[in-house]
Formats: sequence, structure tokens, C-alpha cells
Amino acid sequence: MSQLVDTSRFTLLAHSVAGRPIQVIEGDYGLAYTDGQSIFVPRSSEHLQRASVVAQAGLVAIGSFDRYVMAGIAGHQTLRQRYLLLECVRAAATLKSVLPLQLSSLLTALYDGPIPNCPTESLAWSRQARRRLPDPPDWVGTIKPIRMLRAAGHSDPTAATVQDLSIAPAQDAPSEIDDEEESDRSRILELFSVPLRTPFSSILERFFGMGHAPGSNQGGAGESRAGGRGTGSSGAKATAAVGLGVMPEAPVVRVGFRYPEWDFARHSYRSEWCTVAEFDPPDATSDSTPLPGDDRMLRRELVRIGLSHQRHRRQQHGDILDLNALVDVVVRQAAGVDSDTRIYECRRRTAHDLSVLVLLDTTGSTREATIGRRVFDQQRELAARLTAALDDLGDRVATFGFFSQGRNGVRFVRVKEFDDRYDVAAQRRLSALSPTGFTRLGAAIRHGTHILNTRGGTSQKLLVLVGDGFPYENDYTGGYAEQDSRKALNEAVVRGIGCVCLSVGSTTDSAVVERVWGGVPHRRLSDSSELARSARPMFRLALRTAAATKRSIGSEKNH
Amino acid sequence: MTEHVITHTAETNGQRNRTQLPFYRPVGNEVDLFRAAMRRGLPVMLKGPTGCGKTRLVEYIAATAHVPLYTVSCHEDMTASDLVGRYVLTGGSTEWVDGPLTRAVREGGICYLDEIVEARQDATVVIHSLADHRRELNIERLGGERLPAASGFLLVVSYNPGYQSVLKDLKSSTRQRMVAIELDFPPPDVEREILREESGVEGAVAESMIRLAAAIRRIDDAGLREVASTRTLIAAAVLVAEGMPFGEAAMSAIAGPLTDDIQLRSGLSTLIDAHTPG
Repeated sequence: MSQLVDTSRFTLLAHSVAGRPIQVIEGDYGLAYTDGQSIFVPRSSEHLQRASVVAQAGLVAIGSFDRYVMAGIAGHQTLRQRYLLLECVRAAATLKSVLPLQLSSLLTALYDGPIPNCPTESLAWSRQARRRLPDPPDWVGTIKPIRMLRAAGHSDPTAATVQDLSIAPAQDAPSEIDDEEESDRSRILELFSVPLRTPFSSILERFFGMGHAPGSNQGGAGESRAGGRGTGSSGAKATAAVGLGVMPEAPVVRVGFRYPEWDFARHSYRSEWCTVAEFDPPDATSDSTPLPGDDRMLRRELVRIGLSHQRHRRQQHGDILDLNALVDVVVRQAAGVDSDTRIYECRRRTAHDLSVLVLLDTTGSTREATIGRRVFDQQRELAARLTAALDDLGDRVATFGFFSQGRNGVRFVRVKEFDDRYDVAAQRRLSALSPTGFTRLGAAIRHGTHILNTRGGTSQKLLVLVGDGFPYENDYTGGYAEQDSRKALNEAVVRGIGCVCLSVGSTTDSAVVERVWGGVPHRRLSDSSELARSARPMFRLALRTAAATKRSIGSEKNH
Repeated sequence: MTEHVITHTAETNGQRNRTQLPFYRPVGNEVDLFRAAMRRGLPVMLKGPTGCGKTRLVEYIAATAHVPLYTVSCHEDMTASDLVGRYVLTGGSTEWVDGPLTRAVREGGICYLDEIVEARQDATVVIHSLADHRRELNIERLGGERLPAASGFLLVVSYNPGYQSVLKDLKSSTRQRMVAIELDFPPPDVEREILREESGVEGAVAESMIRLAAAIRRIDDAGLREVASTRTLIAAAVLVAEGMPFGEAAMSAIAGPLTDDIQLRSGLSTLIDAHTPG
């Protein structure tokens, strides 16, 4: 396989045409194509690549890759080309106001006949052998139906099963067989068209990746999480106290902070249900993971977050008169001395009034690797950037790792307390963390809320969870875990604590993340360096929402 | 863009005097709605994204109604004194100087509080008594003087719901006193007309500029501060009219204000290249 080049300069162009984010990758491809998530372009001149990106993104935008249509054209190269041509012309017409003027004209000029209204009509027209259609030029690329179907199966495991993808026979359809993709696809697709699921078709589904994707709510996520069990090398003290193991209810002494848990089925809290304890991490070794350096852009973005008003005296302009300064002026004028005319007092937002708790998910699931690196390492880097930037700015910041082993074994591993400096020792503690255990998110959020309320010491408080945001433990799954986590977040916001979830390289089902974190700002980053772009609006929104919620609840109580 | 408007903000404490009518191209019924509210003295709240024409609409209404316009750009350090007025030092004593709101109330002009959500609530709460049936301004620093609004006084506020997404920041008691007029970026044909009127640019350049803006407006959640507004579009078109190449004008006037991020700038540069007319 050739080396892939991420041509990120094309992503905004692709996004603007497709109407959603779409990656552009350059490689040794014969013709440009897309799998719906990425556009693959061959190495060629910039303007040809640009044209290919626009054409392929246009197809994505108008829904050309309908599953049923893809099943219909798979295996028929001529049919595919005819369909591609009609869809390109349809894209030019549909996206008339968005496409670059020149490329729009080029696409429109491909075919001067009538324009179909939908993919199904394009497919029907392309099957009409008597309809004369020119070949599409190479720069528009091609369509790879099998890849589209495979990608659709990965991204939407709950979508219609493959037996729905029956191929409608066409009376006069061109009958050439495509030799570009897998040679046996026609036979395979015939099998797909069998109305009943057979053992063989199931095998084929798995072969082509059309089954349930890992991380889906069909069991994939559960199994992958179970793989995250184990005795990770957490802090020595933590290990000794907790006795980490695969048992969900590890034999622990229930010492720590007790928190309730929300049982949505009974619509009530289970009082004192979880126990959270804080530990120090193991002694940091010299060969600890290196952490990122100074992130100036992030610091610049965060500098205006969490400020509060401060009195400034002897100002040139201001809200009220500074009486001391005014008296001085009058006295000096009476004495015939040149006087300073700065006699006002004003209040400006210059005081740092923010405490931030960075909670790093150190649970076993983060051992999974994406783009060659463990999710955990990417998330730790994110936590390090955030802690360093906030500490530099003079905000109060504390950083803890967390994991759980049963409801009475929720562990907070101390990296930096609010009053600690983010020095080499703290950085070593952070790099010494390693993933282990499960995610009892509700208890972690409640303890985070408690830490901020009791140790934060500022009027503005922010809880930043760095993790995939997916709650899971053996007795803490599905709707129960999601509802409890959401409830814990609501409790925090009502208490005036802004909550944010940041994940990097996470593969968690976005529907689950939305169910848990939908009420507060959350974002999935592809790299920790992207934090600078989204941190300020997210943090500001979280703080404003929390302040407004607390204020409105306070005013309701007063009434 | 502002060739129709001559401003003397330094001498007039924010008031704009016009020698010519500002250009405003109505998109819907916003002008009729605004004028109806103005005839009955109902405060107006203009909602819409940055650079869609909120301020221009107010200027247009003020100019056609021949009333003075006092514009206040709200910010988080703005205080009630900045609106109402304050004592300033003159010689050996202090003298009261009206703020823009007080002047508008006395003279029967329009007081336009731009991006009102940016201001603190204790600053904007002074408008309450002006915005309901009382139509009077209480000036505490003048011993609680109650100043009734002169005929023709109108309070107009604007804010950008997308940018300031926590609506609760504008108190509901303030919102309830307003007539809301919602604006958005004009449709392509209207935007084309505006571009021609403001910059003189037409044809393929104007068409490409409009398409470029539409393309950027489709890119959400990519880390851009805002989207390409009609204002930035006009700025780019004016640069083109001044002889700058399309790509450079668009980079400076559209991409530059949107982001400082190198990767995003590179993406916008490619987008602009794709839209550059041949």
C-alpha cells in the first residue's frame, strides 16, 4: 500500500461542498473516489486535485451514495460510469450557488440532456441503454460501490441489513462486468439479495465489514470494554489499597467520599451508593512519557476565560469619581502645583477568578490505539496542555486521573492539587499514570464537583473531563449509566460548575456521547493540538451556562 | 462602503450626521416592521449574525426619519455611566455630561445599543424604564431625576444569537420589552445587488465572491470564529475594485478576519483558489 498523505488544505473545500466535515487523502490511486468519510485523490496537479475534490464532495452532498443504488451499480462498470456522469450533472445543478464558478460550469457541461431529480432516477436513466451518455472525464474520479457499502456498514451498524440490498433487475441494463473491484462481487451481491439470512451470508457480511462495528450499541462496545479489564500499573498505593483485579466488586475498605447514584428506572437516588477515594500515583520513574511543551496558542485563547471585575483607582476614565484622587487634585491645584487628572475609579475584568479541575480518564478502555497511538497517551497530552496553560495564566487548576473497580472502588489519582505548582514532580506524576479499570462516570463527576466546591476557592468553576465520555462498569451500563452520568452533570451545572468533555481519538458511539454529554459542551478532537481552536468557546459557554442556571435557580428560590 | 455616510463621532459623542442616505436593500418586511414599531415608540431588538446589516438598517431608518442616531458598541467593561452620563472635571469643579442614551432621550433620537449581550446586566438595566410604558430615564446621579423621553425617541438593541449562544444572558425582563426583528445574510441575488452598489463589482468576480461566501457559510464547527459576512464580502469586493487580485483580496478581507490558525488559513486559501475566477 502506498503511503497516504493527508491533504488537509483541501478539507475546507470538501466541507464547503459536502456540507459536512470530510477528509481528503492523497495517494497512488488511479482515479479519485470517496468512501463517504474521506475523499481519496491521486497525485497530480493542484487544480486537478481540486476539481476531483469538488466533484466527489458534490456527490456526497447530494446523496449519490445511497446504499440501494450502490448495490444496484456494484459490479457494472459502464453502469457505474453512466450513473457517475448523471450524478455529477445533478450535483452541479443542486449545488449551483455553492460550487466554484468554473468547476460548476465544467460539471454542467458534461451532459446537456435533462437532469435527474434523485439517485434512483439517475440509476434508472443509466440503465436505459438507448440513452446516449458520454463518458465522464477522469478528473471527476470514480465510484467504488463496495467500499461505500462497507463504509456504510461500519458507520451505521443499525442501518438496514444487507438482505435489504436486493438488486432490481433491469431489462436493458448494460451488462459489462467491472474488473476494478473484487471479481466475485456480483455473485456475492446475489447472495445478499437472498431474503433470508444464511450462515454463509453472515460470514460474507463480516468479511465485507457490514456487521456491527466495534463501539456500537450492539455489544461491540461492551466487549471492547471488557478487554479493558485488568490489573494495570496504577499507583502503588492505589493498588495496595484497592487490590485491582477483574472483580467488579473488589474487596475494599470503604474509606473515602460517599456519593449517591441516580436510578432512572426507580426515579430516585440510591443513597451513599459509591465510594470515591483519592490516592497519589506511583513514584514517577525517570523514563516517564514526555509531555508536550508550551502551547502558546492555547494560552492565548484561554487568557480571557474566567476573569472577574477588579477595582482600578486613579484612572483617566471611569464609572465613578475616586474621591481620594479628587481631593488630591483640588489640594494640588489650590497649591498651584500641576496635578494628575486621573480622578476616576472603574471596574474592569482583570482579576483571575477561575478554578479548573482537569479529570483525566485513566480507565482501561483508553488502552485502545487509534492512528498508531494509545487513546490514553493522546488524552494525557491534552490534559498536560490544559494544565500547563491554565497554570501559566494564574488560574487555579487541579488535575486528577480517575478509574473505578466497582461502586466502592472509584479512584482519583492525584497529579496536581489546586495549591500545587505544575512543576517537574507534577509532570512526572502525570506521565506515570497508566490506564486501568472502568469508568463510573457519575461518581467521578460528583467527586469532581465536591473538589471544586470545597477546594476551588473561586466564584467561577470549571470541570473538564478528558476522556471518551463513555460510562461503563459491569453493574453500570446502558441507560442506567448514561442517565446517572447525565444527572451528575446536571447537579454540577446547577451548583454553578461549568462542565466540558474533551476527547481525542475516541471511537465511542457519538449517540452515547450525545445522550450523556448533550447538555454541556463536548467535542471530539482528532489531535490534542486542536484544543486551542475549540477551548475558548467551549469553556466560555460552559461557564455562562452554569452561571445562568445557578442564577435562574436562585431567583426561582427567592420567589 | 461608507461613502454615503459622513460621520463626526468625535464632536457629537457618538451621533452620526448624514449628508446622504445610507444604502440599505430590504430583504423582507424588516423596514416596514421597524417603522411601525418606531411610530408607536416600541423598542426594537435586531437579531442576526455579525455583518448581516443590522447597523446599516438602523442608520437607514434614522436617516429616512431625519432623527439623530446615537450608537453605543456594548462591551463587558461598559457601565451605566457610559450610557447615562457622568461628572467630569472642569477647572476646579465637576460638571455633568450626558451620555448617549440621555442625549437621545432629551433630543428624541434613536439610541442603538450594538451587541447588547456583551454589556453587563447592571449596565443595561437602566433601559428598563425607557422600554416600557413609562418612557422615562431615571438618573440616580442627578438626585434621581426622571427624564421623560422626547417625541421620536427609540431604543434599538442588537445581538447575535449564534455568537452569544446563552440566551439567558439577556434578561427575559429586558427581552420582553422589545419587538424582535430577525435578520440573516441576504439571499445570493440580493447580496449580488448589494455588492454592486457598495463596491461596483459585477459579473464573474461578484458571482465568485457570492459563491465563496456561500461555501464558507456551509463550513460549521471547523474552528472559524464566524462565517463570511456580507460586510467582509463587500470589503473584499472593494479591494478587487481597487485593483487587487481576487485571491489576495479574499484572503485579506475574508480569510484573515476569520482565523489566525495556520492550518485553517491554508484550507481557506485552497477554497479561495478554487473560487478564483479564471
